[in-house]
Amino acid sequence: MNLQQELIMLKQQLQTERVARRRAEQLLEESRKLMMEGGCLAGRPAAVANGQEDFPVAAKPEAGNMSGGGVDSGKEAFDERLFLEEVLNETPAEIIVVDNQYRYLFVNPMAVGDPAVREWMIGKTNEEYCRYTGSSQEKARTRREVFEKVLQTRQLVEWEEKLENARGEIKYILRKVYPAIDELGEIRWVIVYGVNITERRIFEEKVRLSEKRYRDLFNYSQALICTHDMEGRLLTVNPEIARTLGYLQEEMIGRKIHEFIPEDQQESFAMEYLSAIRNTNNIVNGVFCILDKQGQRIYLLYKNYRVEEPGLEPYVIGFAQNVTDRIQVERELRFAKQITEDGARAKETFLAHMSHEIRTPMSGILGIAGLLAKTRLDDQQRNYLQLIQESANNLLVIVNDILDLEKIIAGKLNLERIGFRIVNKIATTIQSFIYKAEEKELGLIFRNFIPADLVVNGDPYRLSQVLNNILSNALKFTETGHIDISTGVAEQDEETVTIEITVRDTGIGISEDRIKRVFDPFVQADATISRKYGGTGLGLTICKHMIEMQNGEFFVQSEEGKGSAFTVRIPYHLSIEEMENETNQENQENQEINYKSLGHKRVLVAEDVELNQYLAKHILESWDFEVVIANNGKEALDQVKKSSFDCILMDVQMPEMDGIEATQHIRQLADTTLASIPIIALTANALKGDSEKYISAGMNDYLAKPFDEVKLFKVISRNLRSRDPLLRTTPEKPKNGSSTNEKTGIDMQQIEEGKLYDLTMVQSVSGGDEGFIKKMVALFIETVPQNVQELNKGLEAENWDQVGKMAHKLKSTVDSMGIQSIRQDIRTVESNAKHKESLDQIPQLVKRIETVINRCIGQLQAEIG
Amino acid sequence: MELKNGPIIFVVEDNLFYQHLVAKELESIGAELYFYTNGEACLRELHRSPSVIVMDYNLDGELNGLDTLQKVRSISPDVYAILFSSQKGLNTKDIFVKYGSFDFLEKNNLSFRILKQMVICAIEEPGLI
Repeated sequence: MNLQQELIMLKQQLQTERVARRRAEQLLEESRKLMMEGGCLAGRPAAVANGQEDFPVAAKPEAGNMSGGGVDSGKEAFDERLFLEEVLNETPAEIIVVDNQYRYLFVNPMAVGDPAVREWMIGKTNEEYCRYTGSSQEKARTRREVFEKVLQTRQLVEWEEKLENARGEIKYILRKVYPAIDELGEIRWVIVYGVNITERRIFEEKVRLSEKRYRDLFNYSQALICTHDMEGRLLTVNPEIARTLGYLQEEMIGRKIHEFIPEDQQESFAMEYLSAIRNTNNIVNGVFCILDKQGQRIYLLYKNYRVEEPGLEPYVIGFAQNVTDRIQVERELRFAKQITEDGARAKETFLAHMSHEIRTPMSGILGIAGLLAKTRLDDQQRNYLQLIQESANNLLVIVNDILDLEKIIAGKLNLERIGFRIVNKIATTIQSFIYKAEEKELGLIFRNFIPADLVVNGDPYRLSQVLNNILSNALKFTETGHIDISTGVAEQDEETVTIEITVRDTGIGISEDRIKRVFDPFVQADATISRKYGGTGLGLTICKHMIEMQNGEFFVQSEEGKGSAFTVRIPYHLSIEEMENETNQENQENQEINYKSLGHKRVLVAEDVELNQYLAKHILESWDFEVVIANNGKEALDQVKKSSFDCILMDVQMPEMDGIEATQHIRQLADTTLASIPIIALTANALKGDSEKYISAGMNDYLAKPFDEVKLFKVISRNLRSRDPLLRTTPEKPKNGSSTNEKTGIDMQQIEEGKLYDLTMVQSVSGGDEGFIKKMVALFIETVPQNVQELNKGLEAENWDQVGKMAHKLKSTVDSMGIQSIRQDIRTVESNAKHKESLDQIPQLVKRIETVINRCIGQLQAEIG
Repeated sequence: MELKNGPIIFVVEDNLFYQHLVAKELESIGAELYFYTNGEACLRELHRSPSVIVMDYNLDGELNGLDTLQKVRSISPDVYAILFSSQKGLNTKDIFVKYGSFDFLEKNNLSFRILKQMVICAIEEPGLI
């Protein structure tokens, strides 16, 4: 039973008991009146005045006396007396009548149970009776004092007597002592009326304790407790609330809670709290923001209950705790987290910059070395040049290692998932080591047990990187003997195949105590090794990470002085694709490229490093291209405005204006022909997500530095070809941009070819759920025309804010659906509308967007149904 | 009291297409997802005590994402708010402090996975009490 229920029960019992007592008192009062009247009626006032012997009633039957009492009124008077006596005897209260000397005249059975004692008592005084029962003199004295007081005041005296019997049981008697005064004003008798209130006292005590417990809880609790009515008016607040808010309790009681709520919280307080607790929920919890007496904001986490008891107005009892400090700490923590994250970001940026700083000169060195190799050199010069190239390549490997490790740690290393012929990949990787092995006069044995036509889905580059690393270690640490590469299929089922590759060498080996740590970053088997053999100690760490990312295993067995065996096990999904592409690609790569096949083109190279400027210029001019150099983004922008180019190679990091900014400016040029020049980002930034950034900045493609001639040719021819039909039809572009109208028609032709959308992104989110893809396509078909319509509406009304907003909305949808052809157009619309620039371009762009989207919908309906 | 099966996530995003993509991506977390296209509706529903709010910048209705966040913050200081937008210039400390976003994620085709990770982290963060 809880406190509340207990309290209610006790209160009810008390109430019942009080009513019973009141009834008994009334009854007694009635009897007293009757008795007084009866005495008079009996017609014996004198006898009464004379003494107690003639008292009309005694606790023993005196039938004779009584029957002889009233001759005139006879039977009636007799009945009256008998009746009164019976009433007094049956009354559930102690009734004693004494004379003005405190001599007992009447005692009822409730007061004294034993009839013999009762009889004996008559005529005895209080003191005599107390002596008789062995009660203390103290008790007798107290009673006498009360009695004297009644005589003196002639008023009712009420007192409570605590009695203890021999067994130590305690009894509380509430006594009312009052005089019966005759018509002469004399005190005839004194009536002592007593009720046993022991039970009530026990209840009261319980209630008192119970209430005390409740009050203590309320007063001493660390929790904030209050009650308020349904209007939010505070009925009670505990000291802790007052202390927390800096008020006195009485300053708060009677005020409405919303007086303590800051202005900006009023609405939510009324909405989320008051109306909720009033109408919907019995319990509402949340956080209040309260102003303390100084006007400081205090946050209270509360849980409030609506209490509804029969017969009582509903009210709310609220419990809360002060969470201001906690919120403050959390804010600080969040701030600290932010700073930490900023720091992490700074570190990442630093690494990107580092890689840029190292790779840029490296690309220069390698490029120039490549050019130098084409010149006439004697044997010694050729030897030196080869050393330069090797060192530069080694340095690149180190930089790449550091970048790889950073990506792995940051969880940013992305694995490819393409089909490849596994034996081919392994064989080509090994091939590049044949020459080195011959140089060191080491045997290189390749024992393959993998079927030559096995095609798997996975990341061939990472496999080759891992194998490269293991093989170069094996070669590095082996002076005599051989290196044995054995490959095989460890496990295979219908869908997957686990490939096992073991590379065994007869090198220096690794001692037992160091073998455990060979996979830790920056640890080499022996500290002296880095001095002797070089390397960063990152290779094996990266390999292990890469293999584990592919759910594979990597382990080592070694014996010092005898050699090591590194084993790689990687599970792959079997691929059903035929591997034509790979071979075609390889053939293509091996084919002699006709660098002059693109014809005469004009290329702008925006690049701040002179060495790289020279390199690009040299390569491009050898293809019969005309090259213009810009030292930064600003110069590039000026050049584009001045004359026309077929293509721009844009370095990303440049002083004054970087490549991204320059691209954005170019894309916003009024002349759409100029604005749509193919721009290829040249970048040394190799961190993940960068390519996405360049594309979203409006660049068409990117090429990581250091680049070689083949790659450069591929990327340029790829981007020139796709723009060709456009450029051919407008050989000489007027500077005022008036040619744009004719152009739309040509653009449309371009639109018609091929699939306009790419569901890769939606598919990747779907996780293979075909239904989801269908739903997304349906959603696209359903919602996008509306958006386009609204875009047109905004256009008609020349409401540019609306146009900008709708373009923004379309932008993300178009990106998600991979509709590349209007990717840039939508961005231009959004940006122009937002900045209220080149507004005359917008209608035409919107037209184009609409056409593409409509065709796209047509294609989607045909494809997916 | 309503029974809560899992953490509650609000997604405030005016583009229905994106709503669906987000829904799909967050589906596997096992949270209750609520979608709103405007800030006002999100504020009205805050009594559901979301653990995480994914908030776009451009919204239908009068309030933009930042205005909404500011109001959210004053009502529910604890909710983890992720600003998910292609709008530039939102990933600054000033924005975090002024509008009470806890995280920012730029909206692009690659960011859905990251969003899911962020949301999972936010949910798994040990509770307040």
